[in-house]
Amino acid sequence: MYVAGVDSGALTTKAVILGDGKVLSHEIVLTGMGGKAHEVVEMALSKADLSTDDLAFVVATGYGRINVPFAAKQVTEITCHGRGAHFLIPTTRMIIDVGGQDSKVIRLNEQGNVVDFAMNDKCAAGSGRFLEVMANALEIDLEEMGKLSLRSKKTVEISSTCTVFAESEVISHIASGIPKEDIIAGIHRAIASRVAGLFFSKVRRKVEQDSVVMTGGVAKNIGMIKSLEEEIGIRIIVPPKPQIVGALGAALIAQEECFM
Amino acid sequence: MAEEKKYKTGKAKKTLSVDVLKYVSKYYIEANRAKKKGSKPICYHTSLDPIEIDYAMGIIPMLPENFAAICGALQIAPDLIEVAEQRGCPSDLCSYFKNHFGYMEGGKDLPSMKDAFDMNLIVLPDPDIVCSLRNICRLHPIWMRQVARFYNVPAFTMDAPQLHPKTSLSKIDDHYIEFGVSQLKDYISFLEKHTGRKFDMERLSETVALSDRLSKIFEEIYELRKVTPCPVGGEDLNSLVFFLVTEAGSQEAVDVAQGILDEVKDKVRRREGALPEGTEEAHRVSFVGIPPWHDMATAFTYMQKYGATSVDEIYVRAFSGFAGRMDPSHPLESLVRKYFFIYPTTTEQALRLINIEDITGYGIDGFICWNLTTCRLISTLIARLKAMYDLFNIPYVTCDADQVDPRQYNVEQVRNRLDAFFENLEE
Repeated sequence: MYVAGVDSGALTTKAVILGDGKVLSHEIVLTGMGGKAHEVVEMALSKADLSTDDLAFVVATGYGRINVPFAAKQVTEITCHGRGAHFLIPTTRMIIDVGGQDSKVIRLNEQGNVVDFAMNDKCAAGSGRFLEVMANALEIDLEEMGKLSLRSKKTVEISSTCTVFAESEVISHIASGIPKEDIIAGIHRAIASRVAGLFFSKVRRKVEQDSVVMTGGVAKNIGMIKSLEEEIGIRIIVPPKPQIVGALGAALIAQEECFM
Repeated sequence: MAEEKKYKTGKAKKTLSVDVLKYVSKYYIEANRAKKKGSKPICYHTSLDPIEIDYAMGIIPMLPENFAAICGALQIAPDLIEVAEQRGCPSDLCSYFKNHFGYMEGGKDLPSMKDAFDMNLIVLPDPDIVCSLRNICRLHPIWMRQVARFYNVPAFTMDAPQLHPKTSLSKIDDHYIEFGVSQLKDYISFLEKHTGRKFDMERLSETVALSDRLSKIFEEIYELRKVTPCPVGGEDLNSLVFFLVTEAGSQEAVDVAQGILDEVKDKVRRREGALPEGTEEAHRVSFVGIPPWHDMATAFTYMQKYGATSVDEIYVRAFSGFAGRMDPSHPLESLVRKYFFIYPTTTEQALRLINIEDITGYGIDGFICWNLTTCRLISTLIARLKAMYDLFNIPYVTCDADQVDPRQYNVEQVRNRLDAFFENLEE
């Protein structure tokens, strides 16, 4: 029995194909205009030598989940990230998900069910979009930011939490001749302090080692992870493909639906 | 052909038969008529002012905040707010204020106002005097001073004491009451001086009795909402707040409220809930904050797909008086107790008690908190309440919105949060 989970996010659309409880394939494409849900599922199915006729159930998640007509069920990314992270790392109790449009902290119980969650307010600070804008201002690729920031010798202060104001601040730091790596480290710290605020708002007891997991595309940024670990004072576990955790959770829910 | 609205947001489906807008419209028409004829003076107020005194003296209270809520519901507030911002108001300033400021500063003549107000019937008549009680919001008295300057009319500001955080509502020291009474007496002198009308304590006793009757009817409605299924949802209660805010002390408000109470009782007898026929009541939630008047559909109707209904709203209850019954034989003292000792002049302890009672009595599964972009007062209250919900492990979700300005609002984000909240409740 084969099922699929689709995560239609602001920046990328992800698909995961499950077969008998195992991940058979996954795919990630840029969302772009008009959504790419069908395309990404087709690509993931092709990788697994399957076709849409083989799928018993499809669950959609992410901001664009309502615009996935072939999905039989829509579930929010909160629930899906919880399900996916707990499947990959059963010790998960707290999830930090920094996505393109927002950041979230999700608290799970031992069974992997969502107990509580918090999301950033509606401004872009503390989101992947903030990083994108800053990468653009620094004229570097988003993917380069993590490694570059590790070379920083003196993190600069980015005091503004407003994306537009922070961009001006970054531009003035560039004009002052401050090395890019120090500016990037400052950008990471600015986001980390916002996310840490959300994190601590949901901490109820001592946070155990190996219980904090980060999901979403920003988890691939090693500099961001380092800044976050400094802010929250505990090691963060990052799954091998952090971007597909939501789609995986959606696929796991699709699988449960088949057994109901 | 009417121009298409810039902001497409929705109206909630009502569960009661009363047409609130009809009464709102009638109120504004009568006020404009009185202004034209010079038969009754118009006094502008900020919300939670002792308007029972106005009714006792034949003065018409008008509330620019209520007007802003109507503009929000009719989705014309952004046009007025834009005028205010063009005159220098910052974007994060209270949108109720900006709505009115924009109206004064030329917004009144905008084409969208004429269209939306249906032949210009709902128009704020110019004030003869203005008043504000410094009880809830620090902007209130400044707002009324601006209005006074604009229209060149007399202004009066009453002060309310800040109580010690441990003070219980049932044990307020006499000197606080005496201070409040002295403020009301000064207000009465101000009204007598500037309107030429004579104050009559017996008449005040009558309006206080009517106000108390109105509050009591609302309290009976709140009690009936404890029943499952809840007979009336938050979408209706929030509209009914007009009678509490603007007509406390009038016979009409009592008559309308009595009709509503009868309808609610009848619904309880028939076990008819607020949810659409065929939808079982699965979740009972409490609504915290001023609603986004421009999108009541998302605030209240959206949750119906989860079998959820709002059974309690702190915002509405704030207007029917937390401090107990009013005593018409001591009208001034009663008004002080009703208006002077409310959040935020009163205690956190009292606030906590109020909310724990909500949870146990109403069978509330969780709270939906509306963090208002331009109302820091409500956001402060929400921060306090969230700490309490955490303490008692009660689920809650926070949505970011503005009460009237859809430009400060992301409907998809709000719906996503509501979806996650109800999924969480169902798990």
